Amino acid sequence: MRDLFTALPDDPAPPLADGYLDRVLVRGRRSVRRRRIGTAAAWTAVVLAFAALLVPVVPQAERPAAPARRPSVPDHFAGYSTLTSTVERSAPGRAIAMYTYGNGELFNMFQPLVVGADKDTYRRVGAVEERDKPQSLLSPDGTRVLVGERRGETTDLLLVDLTTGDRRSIDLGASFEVRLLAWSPDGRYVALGAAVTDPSQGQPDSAEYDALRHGTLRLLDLSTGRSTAVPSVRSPFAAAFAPDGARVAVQSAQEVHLLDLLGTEQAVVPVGAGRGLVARAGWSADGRFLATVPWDGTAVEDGTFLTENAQVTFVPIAAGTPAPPPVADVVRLLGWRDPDHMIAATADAQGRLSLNELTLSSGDRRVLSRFDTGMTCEFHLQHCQVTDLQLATGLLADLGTRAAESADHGPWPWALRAVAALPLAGLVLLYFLLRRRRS
Amino acid sequence: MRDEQEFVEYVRARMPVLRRLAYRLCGQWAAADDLVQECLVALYRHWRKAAAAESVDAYVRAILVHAYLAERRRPWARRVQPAAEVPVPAMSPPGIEDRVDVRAALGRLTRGQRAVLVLRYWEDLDVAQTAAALGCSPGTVKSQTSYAMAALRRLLGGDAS
Repeated sequence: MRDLFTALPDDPAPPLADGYLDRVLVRGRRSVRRRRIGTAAAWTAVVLAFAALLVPVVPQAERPAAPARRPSVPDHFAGYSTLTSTVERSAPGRAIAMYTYGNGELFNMFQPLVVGADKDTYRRVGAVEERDKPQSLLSPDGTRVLVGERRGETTDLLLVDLTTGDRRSIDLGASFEVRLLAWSPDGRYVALGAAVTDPSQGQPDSAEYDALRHGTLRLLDLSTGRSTAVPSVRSPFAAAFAPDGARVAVQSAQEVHLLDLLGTEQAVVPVGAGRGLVARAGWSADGRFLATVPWDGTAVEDGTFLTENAQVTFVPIAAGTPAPPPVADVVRLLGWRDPDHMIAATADAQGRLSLNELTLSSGDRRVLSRFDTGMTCEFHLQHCQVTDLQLATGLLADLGTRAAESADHGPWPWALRAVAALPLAGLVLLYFLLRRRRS
Repeated sequence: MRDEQEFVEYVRARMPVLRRLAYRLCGQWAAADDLVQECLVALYRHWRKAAAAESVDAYVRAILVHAYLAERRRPWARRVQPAAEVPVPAMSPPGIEDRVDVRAALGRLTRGQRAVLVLRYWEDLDVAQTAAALGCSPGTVKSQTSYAMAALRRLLGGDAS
């Protein structure tokens, strides 16, 4: 075989084309440049991918405190998103609103959300989701959420810091069935109803309901963790702190007890039959009236869809004081801007929920924001519903409305990030494989 | 820049050898020059690695053979076409028909078979050198050589030995 090839003389080589080597050099330099750019791009992509994966792991305690700008609500709240992250993974900063959003017709897809007071950040409160039957309060300054349990006795409450994502356990000192009622304007005290499970009643279905029926009032000092029992106030249904924070109004049956923070009763204000104190926001901004809504003596508002309007009436604290006229068509009274303006949720004839500023003297209404209650929940099979709506009542005096921007729902869930990172990793791997083959 | 000067000096010195190997693989000078250009661009990219290799010639030969074989894996970019038919000059010198027969038969082999025969018998490389150029084991070189020779014999009507 070798002889056969040896006998094959090569044809004489033609001269090389003009500029052959120059073209080689030009192409070689271009190839080197492309390779460097490609390598840099690949490494940049890798670094960015890892950064995107790792950033949420970085402790967020060093985040700056809430900015000192005017708090506001978006002119419309963002629609439902299954990708919304949690407060614990990505702290949103101070919140203007907290509500439960979604539907549970086919699947339980309710989300306990907080909405930023300074920008359009939406986060789920993980501590609420972790509880079996949660109940929660948003602090008046919008920086904390207090989380309790509705089912059975509990020995502690969870305090979630919205500016850092950290959570702290508040030991109750004993085991109680608890119903969270109201948070004082200075953020120090929380009024709650507490009951010890009565074994004769069997397994409690709702601690909240037991605390309502059999419980007594307790005033919890969050700064020390100690709570003061006020046994004289039994079966507390609703509570609201006075604007100056020095007193608390607590409804028991058809009477509202006015107490100082040591639990000393200062006055009792009767409310009409079938009326109940507005939870959390029932004390007017000038401290002269108590706001009431219809109440059948047993029902609690938590967990009910905010769709039905009712009439708010006012009861003067001091006898002889003329009360403001009733305000009709209010779903929830949420707080006060000043003595003449209150913030309330209302619903139109189609059940669409909005946030309004209501003027007591003139009866004027101004829409501040709207909720998306369209067919976008449960994979676009059900209407989205809002329940348990609360506002950061301490931020309402200066509240503005901002144009809603692209909603910040926080980092994607880990599983989804991993899935999204796979194609990127594949591209990087493919690039290196191709480069290796070419070289 | 110094690397580029060394590269240019090397290419100028070894260009005839590279063109000859490329021609033996491709069977056409135009295709051979394209193949050499592909090889030299890759060599430019990896010149430092090549210059540090034990044998620069062996390194470059491997690049060139890989570029030749890679063309069969790139159906969308076939720039180097093996000669399917070798034109016979009008004035044929003595023995020219035999040479044409062998080259025509080579052109009908697969690229892998053609490469292994060219390297082993035309470039006179041993099994280890051929394996290094092809990027395979010596055992594979031996088996592929055997298959290629059998194929060439069939194409030449059993005369090759």
